[in-house]
Amino acid sequence: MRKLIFGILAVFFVLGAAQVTVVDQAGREVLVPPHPARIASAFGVATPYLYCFVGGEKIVAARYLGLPDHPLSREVMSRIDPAYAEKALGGEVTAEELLAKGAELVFAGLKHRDLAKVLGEIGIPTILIGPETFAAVREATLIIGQALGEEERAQKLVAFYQEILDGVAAATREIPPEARPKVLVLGTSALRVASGEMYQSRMVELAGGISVTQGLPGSWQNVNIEQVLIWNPDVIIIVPYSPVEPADLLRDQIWAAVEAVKTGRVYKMPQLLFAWDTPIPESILGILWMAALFHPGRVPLDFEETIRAFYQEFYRCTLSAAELSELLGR
Amino acid sequence: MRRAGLVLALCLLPLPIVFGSLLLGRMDLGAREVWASLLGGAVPETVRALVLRVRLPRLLAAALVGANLAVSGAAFQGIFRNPLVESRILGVSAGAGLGAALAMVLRSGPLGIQGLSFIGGLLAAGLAMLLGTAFGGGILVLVLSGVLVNSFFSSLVSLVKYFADPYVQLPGITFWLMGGLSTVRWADFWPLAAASAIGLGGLLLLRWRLNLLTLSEAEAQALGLPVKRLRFLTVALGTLLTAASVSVSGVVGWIGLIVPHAARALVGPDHLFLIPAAAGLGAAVLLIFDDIARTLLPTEIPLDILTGLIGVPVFFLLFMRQIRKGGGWR
Amino acid sequence: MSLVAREISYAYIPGQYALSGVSLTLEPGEVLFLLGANGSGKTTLLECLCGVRFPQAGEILLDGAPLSSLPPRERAKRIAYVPQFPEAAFAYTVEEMVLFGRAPHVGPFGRPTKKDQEKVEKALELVGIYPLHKRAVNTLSGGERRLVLIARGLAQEAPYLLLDEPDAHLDPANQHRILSVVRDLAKQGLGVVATTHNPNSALLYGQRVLLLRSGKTLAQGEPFVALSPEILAEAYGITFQILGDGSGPRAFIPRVERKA
Repeated sequence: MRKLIFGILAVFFVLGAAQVTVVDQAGREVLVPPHPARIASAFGVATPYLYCFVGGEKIVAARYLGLPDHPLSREVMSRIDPAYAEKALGGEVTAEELLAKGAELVFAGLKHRDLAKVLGEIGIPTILIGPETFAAVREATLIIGQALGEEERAQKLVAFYQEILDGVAAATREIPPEARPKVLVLGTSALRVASGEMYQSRMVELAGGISVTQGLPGSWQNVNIEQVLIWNPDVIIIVPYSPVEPADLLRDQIWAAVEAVKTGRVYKMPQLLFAWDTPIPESILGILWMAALFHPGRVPLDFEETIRAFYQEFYRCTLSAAELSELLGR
Repeated sequence: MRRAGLVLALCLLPLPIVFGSLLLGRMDLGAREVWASLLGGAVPETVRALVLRVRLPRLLAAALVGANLAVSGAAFQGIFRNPLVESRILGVSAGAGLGAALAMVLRSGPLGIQGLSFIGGLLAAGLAMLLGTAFGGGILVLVLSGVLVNSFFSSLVSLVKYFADPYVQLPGITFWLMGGLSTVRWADFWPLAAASAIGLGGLLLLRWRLNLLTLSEAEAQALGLPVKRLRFLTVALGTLLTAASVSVSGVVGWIGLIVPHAARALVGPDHLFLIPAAAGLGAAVLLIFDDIARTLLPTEIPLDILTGLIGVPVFFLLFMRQIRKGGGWR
Repeated sequence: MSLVAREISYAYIPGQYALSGVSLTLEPGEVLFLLGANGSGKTTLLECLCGVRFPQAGEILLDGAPLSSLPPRERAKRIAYVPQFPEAAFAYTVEEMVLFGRAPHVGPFGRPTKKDQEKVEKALELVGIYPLHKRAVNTLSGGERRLVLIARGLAQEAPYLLLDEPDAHLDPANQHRILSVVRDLAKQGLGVVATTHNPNSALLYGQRVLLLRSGKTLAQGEPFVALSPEILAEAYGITFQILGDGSGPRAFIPRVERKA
C-alpha cells in the first residue's frame, strides 16, 4: 500500500516532466519514458498485463508461457496480436536479445534483478513485478498501468477486480467456515499440490473456499495418496497446464475414496491466453469460476457475460459463443 | 553353521518389516484393521483399499527395489573387483533418468515413464558394454566406458531439463530423479516383480561362480571359467535389476554401495552367502527408508535425499570400523 | 598319458616371437623346471601349456588330444595353474579360496557340495596347512599364501600342475618348504612344470629341466646333464661357477669379483 501511495505521489510531483518515476514491486524507483512504444516482457507473468494496456504493435518481445500448448489460446492470441509468434522469447532471456529487439522498456520478475542491472547499464529501464497475493496483483496492475501511461485503464481494471470480489464476498458472507468447501489444488501431477502460501490457495480463499493445504509451506509439494485422504477435500481443482484430467481421478479406484471424487467435484481450471491460476489479470476470472463451483447458485454474477466483457474490455477481443463454450468445457 | 543361520535371518528380515510397515503411514490404521483387510474381514472399503491397493504394492516394491539394488551392487563390486562400485558405474541410472525425462517432456503417462526409463537404462548399460568389449573387454576399459556413458547421458538429462518447461515439466523431472515410490500401484509392481525374478534368480544361481570373477582374469580362465561370457551375463542381470528398479523408484543412490558392504561385514565376502544376505538386508533397509519418506512429513521426502543423508554417515562409520578391523575387503 | 608341446611358437606382436619352436614332454610323476633369463619366454610357455594362450604355430597335446580342442572346463580338470600371488579382491578364507579350485567340477549354476568340501580338506592336509583353513588369506605369510594356491591347484584334481615361480619372494626356509611339497606331489603321481629363476632349485628338486633363451630352447634334459656353467652363462649372460665336489649335490653360483 505504501508503495502504491508513494508511486502515485511521485507521479504528481513530476507532472509535466518528461519522464515518469515508477516504484516497482522490488522497491526500485525506475525512470520510464512517457508513452513507450517498444515494450518487452521477460517475465511470463508480466505479459498478460501488457496486453491489457497496449496493443500488440507496441510489444516487441515477450514470454508467452503456456500459450503454445493451448489451441484456443493460440487462436485468440493470433486475433489480438497476429505477430506474437515472432516476438516469443524463450529460455533465459538475455539483455542482448532485448536490445536486439529494440526494447525501450522492459518488464521482468523479481528474480531478474541481475538482468535489470545489465539493462540499466545499457540504458533500458526495467520494471520488476512479483505478485504473490491478490493485493499484489492489484498493485502490479496499477504500477504497469502507470508505467505505460494508462493509469485510467489500470483503475478500470482494478475496479473490475473489485466488483467481482465484492460480488463473491456478498454471496458467501453468510456461509460459516464449516460449510465452506475444502479445496485441494493439484499441479502438474496428481500428487503434486499447491501449498498454503501459494497464489492458488489464496484464490481458493477469495472464492469462498478453504484450502486444505493451509499448513503446508513453500511452493508445489509432492504428497502421497494417504495425505490426500486425510485432507479429504470436497472439491479438487486441477491447474490448466497439468497433464492430469478430471477423468483420470474420477475413474481411479483409490481416488474414489476422496470426497471430491465421490461427488464428482473434480474440475480443471480454464485457460484463456494464460493460465487463470497465475497472478495475472485473468486470475480474477479464475476466482469467479471457482466461486461458482464452490457455491452453486449463490454467485449472482452472470458468469459467461462477465468473461466475455473482460476479454472485450481489456484485451479488446471478441469471443464467440462457441469459444466461450469451449473455454468453459461445455 | 552360524553363517548360514545369519543369512537366513537376513533373508527373512524383510517380512516382519513389511508387516510392521503396513501399519505405518499418514493415515492412522490399527493392527486390527490391517489384519482384517489382509484376511478379507469386515472393514470400510477405504481402509481395505488403502491397505491392499496403496500400502501393500508400495511396500513390496520398496522391498524388491532394495533387494535389487543391493544384489546388483554386490555383483558389480565382484565383477569390477572393487568395493567402491555400484550399479551406476555403467550409466544405468543416467540412462533411466534420460528415458524418464524424455517421457515427461513428451507428456507420457506413468506407464510411458516407467517403460522409457527402463529402456533408457538398458540402452546406457548396453552402450557401455559395447564400448568396453569393442576395446578388449577388460575391467578397466569397461569402467572407462561406463564413466563416459554416465557423463554423456547425464549431460543429455541436463539438456532435456534446460529445454523443459520450467513450470510444468522440470519440477516433475527433478522430483522423479530424486527417487520416490508415491505413485506405485499393482500395475507398476508386476513388471518389476518379473524383472526381479529373472535378475535375482539368475544371480542367485550364479552366485558361487561370482567369487571366481573376483580373482585375476588369468586365474579364472585357468579354472575353466568362460570369463567374458560370465561377466557379460552378470552385468546383464545386474543391469536388468537396476533398470527395472530405477524405472519404478527413480534414482536411489547408496543402497547399491552400502548394503553390500554391510552384508560383507556380516557374512563375509563369499557370494554364496553375500548375495542372499544383501538381498534381505537391502529390502529391509529400503523399506525403512520408504517408511520414513511417506510417514514423517505431510509431503513425500525423496528417497535419494534420505539414503544420502542417512546412508553417508552410516557408510562412513562402517568404513571406519572396517579399516580398523581389516577384514571383509582388502 | 603326457603333456606334450611340439614346436610351439607364440608372438605377442606379429613378427616378434616370444617363443619359437619349443618342444617339451611332461610325464606324470616328474617335476620339470623351466629356466631362463627375464623375458626368455618362461611365463609365455607356461601360459600356453595351461591353455590360457594359443600358440600361433605348433601344437600342444594333452594325453594325445590337442589342448585347444578341449572345452575350458575339461581342460581345467586336467591342468591346474598356480600363480605366484593370490589376487582376490576380497579377503576370502583359506578354505573358501581352495574351494574355488573345485570350479571345474561344479556345474555352471551350481555350488560346491560336501564332497567338494572333503576334497578341499584333503588338499589342505596334503600341503600341510589344514590348521590355517579358517584364516583370511591376506593375513598369512608369503609362504603360507603360496601353499594355499598350491592347495587350490590340487583341489582341481588335475593330473598336471603348472606353477609360476613357486620359489620366488620367499626366504630359504620357505623356499625349501614349497619346493619339497612340489617334489612330493610329483612322487604321488602328478606331472609338474615350474618356472624358476634359480637353477639350483632345478638341481635339488627337479627331474627335468628346460632352459630358454630369447624364446628358443637352449638346453633340455636332466638337470645335472643339461646344465653347466657354460650353458648358464649363455642363458643369463654372466659367468657361473660350480660348488660342491663330485660326491654330493652341486650348485651353481654366479662368479662375483670381490673388490678388495
